[in-house]
Parts: sequence; structure tokens; C-alpha cells
Amino acid sequence: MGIFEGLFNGFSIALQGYNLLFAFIGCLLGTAIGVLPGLGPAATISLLLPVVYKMSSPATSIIFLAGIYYGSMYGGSTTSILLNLPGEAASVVTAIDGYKMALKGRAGAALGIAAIGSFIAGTIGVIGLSIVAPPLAEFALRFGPPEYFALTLVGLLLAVFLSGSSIVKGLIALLIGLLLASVGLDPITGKVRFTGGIIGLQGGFDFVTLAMGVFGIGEILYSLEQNIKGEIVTTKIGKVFPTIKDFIEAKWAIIRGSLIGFFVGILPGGGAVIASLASYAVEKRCSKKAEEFGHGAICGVAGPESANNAASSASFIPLLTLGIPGNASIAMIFAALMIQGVTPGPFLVKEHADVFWGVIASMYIGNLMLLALNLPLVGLWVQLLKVPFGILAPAVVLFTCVGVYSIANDTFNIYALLFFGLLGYFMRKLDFEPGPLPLAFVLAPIIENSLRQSLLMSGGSMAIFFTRPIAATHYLCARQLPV
Amino acid sequence: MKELIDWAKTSNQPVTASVSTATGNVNITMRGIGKVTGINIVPIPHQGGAQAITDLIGGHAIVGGGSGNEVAPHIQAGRLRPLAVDLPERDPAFPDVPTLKEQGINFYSWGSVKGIAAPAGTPKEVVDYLADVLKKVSEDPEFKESMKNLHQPILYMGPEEFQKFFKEAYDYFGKLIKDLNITLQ
Repeated sequence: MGIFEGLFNGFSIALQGYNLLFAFIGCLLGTAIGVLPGLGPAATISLLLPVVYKMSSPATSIIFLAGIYYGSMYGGSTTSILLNLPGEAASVVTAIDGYKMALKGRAGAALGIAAIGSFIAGTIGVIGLSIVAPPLAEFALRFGPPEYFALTLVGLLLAVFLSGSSIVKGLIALLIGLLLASVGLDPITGKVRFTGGIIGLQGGFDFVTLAMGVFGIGEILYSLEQNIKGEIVTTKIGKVFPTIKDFIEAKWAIIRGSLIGFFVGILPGGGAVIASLASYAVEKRCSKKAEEFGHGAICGVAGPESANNAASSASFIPLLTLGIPGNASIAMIFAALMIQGVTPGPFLVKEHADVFWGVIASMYIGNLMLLALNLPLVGLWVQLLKVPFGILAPAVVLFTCVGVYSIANDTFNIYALLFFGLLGYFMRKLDFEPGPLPLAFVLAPIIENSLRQSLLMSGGSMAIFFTRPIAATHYLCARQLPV
Repeated sequence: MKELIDWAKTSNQPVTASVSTATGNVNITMRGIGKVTGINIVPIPHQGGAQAITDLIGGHAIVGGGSGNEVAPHIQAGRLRPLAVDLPERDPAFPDVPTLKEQGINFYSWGSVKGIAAPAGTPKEVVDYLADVLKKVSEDPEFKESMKNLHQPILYMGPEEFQKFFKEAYDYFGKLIKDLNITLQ
């Protein structure tokens, strides 16, 4: 079946009333959970897996769950921009310039460009997905442990490089992140380490708890000290939609972000995070106004937000062609396919053409729906800023506490949240940029695993990191960084 | 299998093996093969079976292993070549693949058997009722069909039978782990 025949067939499935309805519900739900800090797509999809049992066709259920996943990428930018509170790792870099834009009264423009960029990138991602899925997935297979090590190491260096003023402080934040990530089970030997005998620590610290604490609670504690009677953003909201000038300025950032996101997204593991990071670094380097970065550059919002959306579409490639889930949310969709009796793998495209093309067609439609959902609603999210700090701050603390408790129904996470909140507070007080910490935390398991797996493969020789062409290329790229 | 062992012996190279986790069944099997045949197998643990299989398909390890549903689609697509089944008998889902024992390697494992347990002290009539219902489920054509699609054999055992099997498998694995000197370093 060719692409056009496949897509035609796919649209005839995706446009059925029932499937349209579930695509819409999925996108709406996805935007909502993306906006709400604490509840991510992986958790939401896992909560909805029982619903999938009752659905009549595998295509419908995947259309629904996929809608939640890519919808959350649209919503994720909102709290980053308005509250400096990224709900997920892929929106961490958005907060750097997005929040500064909001402080300058340009929250509407930031939210608008994020939504438009997301739409363009999402659509480019889906077009790419329909054309190049099988051959590109083959290429991703050539990434073994040494390549992953190289990729994540370069990703971490990028994190320090873009962390703002001090590279030394960025490195310290990075090391704290690596150390915190080493608590829990040793991935190679399976032994429990660094838990101090606390049972709640056996699974390691939870990422959402860490991010909520360091960013959300830390920010609120710090703001309390600054101006108790003040509001989070005191200037007026400004225009809700970006101007033509904004759009012209950001158009190449969106295109570059889409392409970076697409190619990074194909790689299994941490796709959207590395994609948004890489896009930010590229924009900073390409920009004629590099000094604006960190102070509200529109390209610093448009690039990463486009990248994480393109990456979320691209992450369906290894799932639908090889049966390999690249991240936690896709792993849930993998489980949903199994529940419906469809084994994801090389045969999916042929044997379940209705699922493959139906889902892809629904993603074209879903991206349109999300644009329609998000642009008019930007005004609604902006209203959040008008809520006085005295009401908003306790509400955010309450929501984050409920959110982290719901991760494992364990009060331990709430104590961990407070601990990370204090950590975030002191980091801010001592003028540390917190960004590299959660990113190091997310990438640490990949780094540790891939480093130790590589050394097992090579029998202890470090040469393995430099003799393989893809890995070596990464180090060459890293040398271009001014770190 | 023989080719692999001969190659390992003549070249004296370590055989990298992609395994799911450090505490998983595939790891035990790989170490078992290494011990019985005397070749140097280096297991590389991953974060679960899917990752291990990905690395194996990508050619980043020489051998690897996984459960039937993990490897079957890749075998059908020609991405993986089955060498051996590590069970005492051939797996009905892979009737053409010989066991290790058939190939002269005196090692077997019990695979990862999924059983269903009730809390200790559950009344006998409840246990009997559940056993009866589960037996019916295991004979249900729809259930059989979906398990077949997952390449999972159905081996129904009643409560006493399963308890006996479980004890046997438990002792066997315990002995294996001691014999292979697998410790949490």
C-alpha cells in the first residue's frame, strides 16, 4: 500500500464520527493535563488503560491515547511560561525565556507562538512519520550504548552551556542532579544503593516530585521573600496573539525546531527533552540577537516548543515500525495495543493497516483541533496571571502536593517535595540556575547505563567511545560548544 | 549454537549477551550456558526486555534472549535468528527451535512462568472455586487465541500441582543461583 492510498484509507477511518469524537476528547484531556502541573501524559494514559478494554477497535483506542500524548505537549508550555513551573522535562527550557516574556507583559505572545509553533511542528512531524517511518527506524537501531552515552553527554553539556550566567554553578547543579539520580536500584547489578535504609527511596527519587519541588515550591518560597503582597506578574498582560513581526522573527526557529525535534524524536529514550534542549542551543547560536536569550527571546520559546511537538510525533516511529516504545507515555500506548490484541512490530503496517494509517490520519486532524482549542483559550490561561499571589501560591502548593502524592499514593513523595523545594529555594537564593539539575537527573540513568553497558561490551576499553563513527561525531559537535 | 561456541573457543573472545535485567531469567540462562560450555559470556543488563532486544537487533551484542512475545515478531521479520530454547522441552510456540539440551548443552531453566496466587489462609472452597473458574478460562477459545497471538503457552495446573511445581522451580533456581555464584555485588 502506497502512502496516498494508505492516507486515504486512514482518513476514511479517522473521520468516522466515533473516532473524531475520541480524537477530540483525547486532545482536550491532553491539553488540560499538560497545563496542570504534576499530572503528566504517562500517568493519565495509565489511568485510562482500563477504558481501552471497553473500546470496540484498536484504531479508536490508539487515536484517543495518542491525542492525550501530543495534546499534552501543547499544554505543557502554558505553566512554564506563566508560572515558571514546567510540568514536564520537555518544557524546562521553555520556562527560561517564556517566563521572562511573561514578566515583560508578553505572556500572550509567548503562549500564542508556542501554540502556532506546536501546530506547525506537529504537522511536519506527522508528515515525516507517514513518509519516512520504516527507513529511519532502521537507522535508529544503529544507536547502541556508546552512541547513547555520547548523545546524553553532549545533551548534558548543552544543559550547562545554556544555564545562564555561571558555567561553574551550572556544573554544580548538574552534579547534584547526577547524584540524586544515583539513589535507588543499581541498574547493572540490581543492588539497592544510597537509600540510607529508607524504604521510600528504594525506587529512587521521582522525577515529577523533583521538578515540582525545585521549580514550583522553590519559586514560591523565593517569591514569598521578595514581595509578600505582590503578584507573580505585576505588569499588564499585553496582546494575546503574537504580532506579524513576532511571527517573522520566529519562523525559522519553528522550522529548525521541527526538524531537530523530528530527528531526535526517532531515537528511543528522552526524545522530547533532548530535542527541546538542542533546539534552544541551536537558536541561541543562530540568533543575531544572542544577548536577548535568557531575557525573553521569542525564538527561545518557539524553537523548543516546536521541537518537543515534532519529537512526540516522531516517537511513534519506533513504536509503529519496530514495536519499541521510546518513552514512558509511548510504553503505555504499547500496552494499549497489546490489550487490543495488536502486537506492535514490523508487521503492524501491513497486517493492521487500519490502525497504522488511521492513527496517522487522526494526528493530522488532531493537530488542527489543538490549534483551534489552544489559540482562543490562550486568553483564558492568561487570566491565571490576574489571580493574586496570596491565593495562587497556596493553590499551587496544594495541587503539587496532591499531584506528587498521586504518583505512588505515598506520603513519602510529599516530604521529598518539601526537601526539593528547599533545595530550589537555596539555589535561587545563591543565584544558581536550576535548569541543569532536573535535566541531569533525567539523563543520568541513560548515561550510567550506556557507559557501563559500553564498557561491558568492550571489556573495559574506553576506545569504544571514539572508534564508532556516530559516537565520535557527537564529540566533534560537542567541541563546537563554548564550554 | 555450536557455531557460536566454536567461534568463542577458537577466537577466545568474550561473547556479549544482551539481557533484560541483572536479576532476570535471561541473565541466569546466559551465565548457565557460559558455565556449562566454558566460554566467556558477558551479560549486559538493560532496563527491561524491550531495550535488550533493541540493542540485540541493532547488532550491539552478539547474542541475547527474551520471552516468546518479545522475540517472536523479530524472528518472523528475520531480524533475529533463534538459536535455542532454554526450557526442558521445546516451546509449542516455536516448534522448530531446538532446546539447549538437544544441542548438547546440559542446562535448562523454567522461563518466566506466570501463576496466580491467593493470600495464605484463603478458605478451601474459595480456592477450589477460583481454580475451577481459571480452568474454564484456560479452555476458553477466545483466551487461547489471544495467548497464541502473544506466543504464550497455556499450561494449566491445579492448586496442588502448581504448588509442587512452584516449590521445584524455586529450589532449582535457588541452586542455580548458588552454583553460578550470582551475587548482588
